[in-house]
Amino acid sequence: MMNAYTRMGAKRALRLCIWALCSWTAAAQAQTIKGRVLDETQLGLPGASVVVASQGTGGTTDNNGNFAIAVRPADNITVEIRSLGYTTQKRVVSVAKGQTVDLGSISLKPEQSNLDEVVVVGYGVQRRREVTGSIVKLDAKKLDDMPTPSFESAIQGKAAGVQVITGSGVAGSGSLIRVRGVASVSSGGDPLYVVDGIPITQDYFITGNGGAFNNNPLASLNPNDIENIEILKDAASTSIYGSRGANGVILITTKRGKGDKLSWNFSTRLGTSDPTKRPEMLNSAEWLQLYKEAWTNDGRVGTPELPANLTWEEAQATNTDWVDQTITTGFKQRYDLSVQKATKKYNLYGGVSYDLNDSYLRGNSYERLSGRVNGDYKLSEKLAIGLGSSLSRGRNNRVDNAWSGGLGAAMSTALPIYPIYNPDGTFWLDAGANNNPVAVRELKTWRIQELRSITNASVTYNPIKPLTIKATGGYDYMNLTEDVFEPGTFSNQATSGTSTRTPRHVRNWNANLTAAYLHRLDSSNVLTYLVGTETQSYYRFREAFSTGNGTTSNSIQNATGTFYEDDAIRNDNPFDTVIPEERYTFASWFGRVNYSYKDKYLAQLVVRADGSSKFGPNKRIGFFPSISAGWIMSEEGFMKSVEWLNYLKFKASYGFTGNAAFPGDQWRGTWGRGTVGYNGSPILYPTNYENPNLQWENSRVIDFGFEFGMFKDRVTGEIAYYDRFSDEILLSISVPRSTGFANYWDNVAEIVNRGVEFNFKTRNLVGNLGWTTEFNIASNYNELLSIGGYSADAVGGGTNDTRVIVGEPVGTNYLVRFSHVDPENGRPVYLDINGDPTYTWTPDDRVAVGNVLPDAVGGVNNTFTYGGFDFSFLFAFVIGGDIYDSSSKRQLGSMSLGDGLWNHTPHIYDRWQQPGDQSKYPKLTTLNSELGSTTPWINTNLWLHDGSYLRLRNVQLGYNFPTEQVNRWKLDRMRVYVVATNLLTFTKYPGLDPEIARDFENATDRNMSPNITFLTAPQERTFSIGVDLSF
Amino acid sequence: MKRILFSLFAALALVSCEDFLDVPPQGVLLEDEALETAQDYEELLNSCYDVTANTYNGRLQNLFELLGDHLAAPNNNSDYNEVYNRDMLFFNSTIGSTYGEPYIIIYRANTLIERVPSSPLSDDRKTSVSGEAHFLRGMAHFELVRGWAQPFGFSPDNSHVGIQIKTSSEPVLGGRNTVAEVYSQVLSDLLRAEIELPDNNGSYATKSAAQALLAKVYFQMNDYAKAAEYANKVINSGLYALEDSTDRFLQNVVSSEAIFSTISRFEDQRSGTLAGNYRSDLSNANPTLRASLEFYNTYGLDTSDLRSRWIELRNAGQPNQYVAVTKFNKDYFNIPVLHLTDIKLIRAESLAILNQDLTTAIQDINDLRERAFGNSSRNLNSSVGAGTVLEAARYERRIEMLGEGDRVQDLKRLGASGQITEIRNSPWNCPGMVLQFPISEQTDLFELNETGGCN
Repeated sequence: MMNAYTRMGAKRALRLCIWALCSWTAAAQAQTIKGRVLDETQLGLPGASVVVASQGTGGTTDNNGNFAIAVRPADNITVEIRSLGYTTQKRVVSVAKGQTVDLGSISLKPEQSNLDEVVVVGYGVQRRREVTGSIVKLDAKKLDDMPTPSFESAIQGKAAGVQVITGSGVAGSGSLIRVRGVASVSSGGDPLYVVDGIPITQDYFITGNGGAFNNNPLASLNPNDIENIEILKDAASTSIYGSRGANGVILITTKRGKGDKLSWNFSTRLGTSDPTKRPEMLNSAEWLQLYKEAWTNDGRVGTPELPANLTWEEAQATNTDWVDQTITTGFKQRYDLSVQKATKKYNLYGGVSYDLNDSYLRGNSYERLSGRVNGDYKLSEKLAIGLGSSLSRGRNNRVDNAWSGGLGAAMSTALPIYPIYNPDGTFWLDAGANNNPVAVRELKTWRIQELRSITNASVTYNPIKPLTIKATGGYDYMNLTEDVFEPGTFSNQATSGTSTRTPRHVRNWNANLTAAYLHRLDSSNVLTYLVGTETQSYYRFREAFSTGNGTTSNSIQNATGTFYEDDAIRNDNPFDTVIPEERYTFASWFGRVNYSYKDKYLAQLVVRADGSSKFGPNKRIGFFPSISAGWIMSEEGFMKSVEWLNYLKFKASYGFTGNAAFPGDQWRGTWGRGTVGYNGSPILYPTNYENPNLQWENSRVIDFGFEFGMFKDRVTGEIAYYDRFSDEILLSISVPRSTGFANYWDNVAEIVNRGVEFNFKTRNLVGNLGWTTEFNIASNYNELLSIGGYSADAVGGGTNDTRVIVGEPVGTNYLVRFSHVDPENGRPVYLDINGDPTYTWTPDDRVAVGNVLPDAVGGVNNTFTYGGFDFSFLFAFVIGGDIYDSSSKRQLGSMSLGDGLWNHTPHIYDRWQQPGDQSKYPKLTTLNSELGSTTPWINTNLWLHDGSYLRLRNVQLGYNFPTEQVNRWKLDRMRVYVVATNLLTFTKYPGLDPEIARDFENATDRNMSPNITFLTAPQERTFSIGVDLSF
Repeated sequence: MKRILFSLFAALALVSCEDFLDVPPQGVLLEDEALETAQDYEELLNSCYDVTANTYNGRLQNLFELLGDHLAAPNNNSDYNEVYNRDMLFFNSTIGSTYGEPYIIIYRANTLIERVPSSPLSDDRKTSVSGEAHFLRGMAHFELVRGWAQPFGFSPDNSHVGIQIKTSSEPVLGGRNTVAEVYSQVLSDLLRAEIELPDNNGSYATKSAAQALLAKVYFQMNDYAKAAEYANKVINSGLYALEDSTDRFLQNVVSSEAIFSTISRFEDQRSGTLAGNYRSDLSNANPTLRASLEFYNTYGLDTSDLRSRWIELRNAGQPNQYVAVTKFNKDYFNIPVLHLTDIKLIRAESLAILNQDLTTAIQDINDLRERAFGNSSRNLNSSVGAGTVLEAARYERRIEMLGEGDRVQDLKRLGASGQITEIRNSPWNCPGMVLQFPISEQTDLFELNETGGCN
């Protein structure tokens, strides 16, 4: 506190100084124009430009929106007040010698058409008016309303054509983002993420799927450092990213300093986390009764056999609510402090942040400490340098979940008849450690720590005014270290425990050089050229320590704690061996020409050539051209008479983009050498079969769109249609094992995505009470056109009975059809391949019965403002698409001791009990055969549900204190707000939460198995309060 | 200015491209540099044994054992349950991954067979390596055809579908060969191996190993004369002696009766699938695989037989009663894939069926009985007839080979020769008696096994 106070003091002194300096300058030159610029909420607008063009002078407003400009005495001086995103205002004043003219308060209105808004495009910026591609821009305000560690979940419902499925309730989990459908099967279907021009490392599977959790590569980016993001959707905007643009590109721009005075911002947010829906499981007495019923139904007598050598009496005496034992209310806190300043010579932004994000899973949290410095410096009129650098440390304190244990165990194999403790107070482990999630949580230590730094430096050279040459170098470094300690009691081993440390490093270098030239042929014809080249080099490796016998390891036995807790084991086992994991390079050349005629007719031509070490020698370089055009019809004379329509733009594009999000070196025939080998001698063996034709996936995209503004931009919006045909789609094919290999990458499939997008924004009320509505909806049609002759089951990674089937969408639920429960005997009746009823379940009878992709997604957001108050609420919705509740086949299925018993959900009460019963679920049984199979894992469409939902995603109420009030507290601004997320959900889905991105095994699974749940922890519902201060 | 710029870009473009894009992966070898030195070939050969050890670490034995009549229903393992219930899905990943291993052996053996002639190996080593590759390729095909196809003798001319023969490293998709073709290929490989293999070869394949396997193959084919002939060759080599104890699954030592053994060490534990599923000596033991009560009643009650200690009745009379198999209660051990006990029993049974040289057959039985009982009290009288010898050989075979995956092949052999009609109350040749292929095998050319199980 003392420090803060001192700093405040210093701050005040500084401000006094600056004020004194200003006064002195003002005194030296006697004439001044002053005033105060206000934004739409009547708060002072900092950083607005005040320009007196006729005298070549001007200034910017301070944190309170005040300005004072020294001028020469003159009549009719035109003063322009500009700020990005606001309409420019002009005042004409006459200033006599020695006079100070006070313009009073000048309210700037938000720019109506946003036509001059700057939009970041690949390797440059364009004015909104000039853009011929399809780009969604979201600024920081819109990205900061979700209390998750990473920003991407906040996109949900806000960008047309961008589907966002927030990860589960596990702390730090990532979201699944799909731009205009999915066009990949085995390679990554996520958009390319580019931070300040650097394509960052975005591997979700660096730590695999350990503990049913995928690492989130975006978690180390502090959302508070983000100024805005742009989502590039069509070929006109993405072909400049060549072989990596096909799944869309998300450009992230971090904050640069603004305002000519040093200003500080402090913000904090505190909140809670609870599951959107608590899993309900049976208690001990209920479960025992059902188990007995199953036993009796099978004609068996006597006391049913219980697992773990428990007697019936012991079981009855225990009633553990494992769900209660694994969830709680999590607490979230975030603190951000930033400072910024900009002058003509330089700008500077610096920020530090601390985020401690508990989930509602006991023992699970994501903690991030991060800092960022961004700055630009003009060495001369022609030469400028820039630097942006972030450093963050993310710590994920892990627990098992889903199939791996924890809440997942509580929802499955941790039966209520199992006690937590033995009578002597030690943990009860008779049913295996995994069935005592409390013991696992308490005794196992598990942490993943990520150190991440993303840095870019640039030199910009303007030898002549219209030519800009820019060289940028970027380095994205990641060190991901996983530490696990498990006591020996878990695995029945005599050792005290096993400690494992797996450090991984990713070094991702990027360099590009661009030259842009603005060529004004005359006042009507303007050409802009851009040429550039770029290289990227990626290297990932793991570290291990050498063991005595010439091998390496990441684990030690007989440990008593983790590597980070125990100096001794760290010292004894130095990580001295580097094990390369993946390495690839890209080298690219690109060019772009923009042509504009009278700001009315626009055309753009883009071409990129990408070479990559990932591509086979027969396919080393790919070309990705696009052509696009725009026509601002409202600029035409004949449109001027249509008064209600003030803006209308038509745009069209055609082009090619690619996807190269697959592992490097798959085209090579490779061999491996194992030093541990066999029988004490090394071994040498083939690891991959050569495919010299391996290449990028190719997408041909056609896009048409209208942008419109009506009633003086009280209504603005956009309608778009796209058709994306993708071929050379990569499959990691499960080749017949008789080849001696298991998998092979090949470009074989074809997919089409076709859709419409519509979004509008209406300013319903613009007075003191303001009301704005934003709405978007996008519908996508997806179909797999070809799979190169392979069978539906040939694609590896479809662990969830979703398949690729020709004529169906990617991620088709391929299941045996459940017909009904036979009222006579309670047995389930299935339909065979011909649709005839049968008691026998066999995978030969699987048919396409649904798919995981929704028909439409969107959102509607309403914002009200009144005085200093603002209130907004966002509904996100999903229409269509199926959810497969994969866990319910056991939660409502057979009670076979030999296959491991599961607890059941209360849905089981709608079951067959006696002849004549009409029920939803079959009879209880201990025999899989009574359900028609040899396995208890009976996948049918009984577990398939409509995935539509409408969700009150976000509600926020804020209050901006009046400037006069906060000034008395020595502050420039102060805002307090409360925000709640996932408050209400309307859905027919009977399970936990209809928004599902489960843990994925690999990229194929990620493409095919959203909307599949297997004991997946539901989303969190949060309540938070926050304060933002600037001073 | 434009010229400068142009030069700059051109230079960058020319310098970077080919070199920059050629990033040889680290930690792996490339196709054209992998097989150069003699040592490389030795290491490739060693990798064939490596996969052989992974195949016989219990994976194959357990699947076979589950199809037989020695085990009770497995505990808490759906994949094993499907095998035990003899109604398997093509999703069964335990079967699928086990099926893949022999084909990895075959692929590598084929690579050796194709490339060894032009290798820098010495002529002696070329012959031996070729022999080892043929031995392993033959053994892999033999295990595949025993597991994934109906047995030899299922159809009179063995024209029923077998498995796919692979004699080339080209990854060509193909269909299934007939069982006759597969056995012919197996015999051809093993007979060549017998010629090429050396008498002594450390813990790797030897001439006797090829002969022992030939004895097993002929035995499976109901060709008892050939089986006895090859068993004789092995036994008469004098290289192998029965263990004094009944235990031949030894830690750190290769059993004196092992003719071909896979080696398991502390670091690699190539016996994990046996130990992991049977082990019953740790606290809270709850083994996945257990013997049937019937087997216990047959072999567990006579405690003067040392082998009765391999099966223990646990929690007797309780609902959770089970029969533990204690044979594999060790952290790790070497696995004698081909061993003298088996070969002696093959000889005894073959001779009994042929009704030839019963003295030798009786001696083979008595060798095992004296070891099992510690004395000659249970020895066969030298005057007993062929029927008694046959019965004794089959009785000994069951207990001696418990858990080694032998029983189901024995039953199928008896089924094919008309000596039994049922296995565990189902027809000996019902569809569920063969393992199902993984779904990835299915192509236009390749049909999976018949479904429907054994009901």
